[in-house]
Amino acid sequence: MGTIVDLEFPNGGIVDADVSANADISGTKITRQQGHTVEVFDSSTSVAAVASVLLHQVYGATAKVIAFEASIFTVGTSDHTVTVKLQKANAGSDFSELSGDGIVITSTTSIRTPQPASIETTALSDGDILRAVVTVAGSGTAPKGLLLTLTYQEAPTS
Amino acid sequence: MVLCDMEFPNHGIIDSDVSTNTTIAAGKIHHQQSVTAELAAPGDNIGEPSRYLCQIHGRSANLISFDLTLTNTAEGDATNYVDVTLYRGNFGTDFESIGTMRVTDQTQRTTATMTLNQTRLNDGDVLYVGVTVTGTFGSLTIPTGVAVTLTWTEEPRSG
Repeated sequence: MGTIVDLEFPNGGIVDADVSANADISGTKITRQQGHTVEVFDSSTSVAAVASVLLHQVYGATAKVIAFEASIFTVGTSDHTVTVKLQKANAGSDFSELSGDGIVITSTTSIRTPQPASIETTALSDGDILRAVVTVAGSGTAPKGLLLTLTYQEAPTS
Repeated sequence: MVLCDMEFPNHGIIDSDVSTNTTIAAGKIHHQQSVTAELAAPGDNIGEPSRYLCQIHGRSANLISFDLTLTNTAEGDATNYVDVTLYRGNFGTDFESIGTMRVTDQTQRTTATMTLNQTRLNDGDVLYVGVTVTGTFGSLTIPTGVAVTLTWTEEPRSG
């Protein structure tokens, strides 16, 4: 029997229809993308400072942050700002910033619209602990409701 | 060699056809996810809580199911009932109901599944659950210890 050494699939590669409905592809062969959403303040509660909102602990051979987003449900007023930063720590180290200046929410921020952070460091390691830190500033009225969504990918640990 | 019409045995690729030394990239797979929210702790009356459940981050997404379970066997009738409603909102729009399930009689630790009016979701959609209680229940047993589980699939997008 010969060996096929250069095989090209039509459509640029294997597509969904090529996979059996009963494939049961093992979880150890797939990098998963997951989202984790936390309601930090409900829609009737003013956003206040929170020192630490624990979001996730990485369990995977490799992992990376795909997105970190915040949404509010009623806008604040005047010069009031809310800043949300994403941080990580591992094995006793101090938390470090992943999102630079963070997500800044002002009186002109649209409600129920995801405000993305600029992620400066996407790579994560097994055991990394991710948290959000919320700070507020200004003299105006705070926005109400704060929803945070972390989206990440993890390659499985066998 | 280019194969223009190839059929796999077993009606398609199965697990053993995939190398044990590979991890298929997340961007090539639709991911099924779920979130469970406790609306009332075991033993606590359900009240009228509301919770944000998730915000979609994907080119597209589909709701799979919305399930509810109780820690007690609840009772109800035509004038004493609990309505649990799933809402969706996006980019400043008002929330719209995408399904309501009425809890009248439900056995403890069994799952009731909502009939969803729509399942297609968009990037940025916020999913939210709200509860209303009608009637005083009197001698009837009101639901306690309530948890809901939302399950959906997302088609990943990068960044």
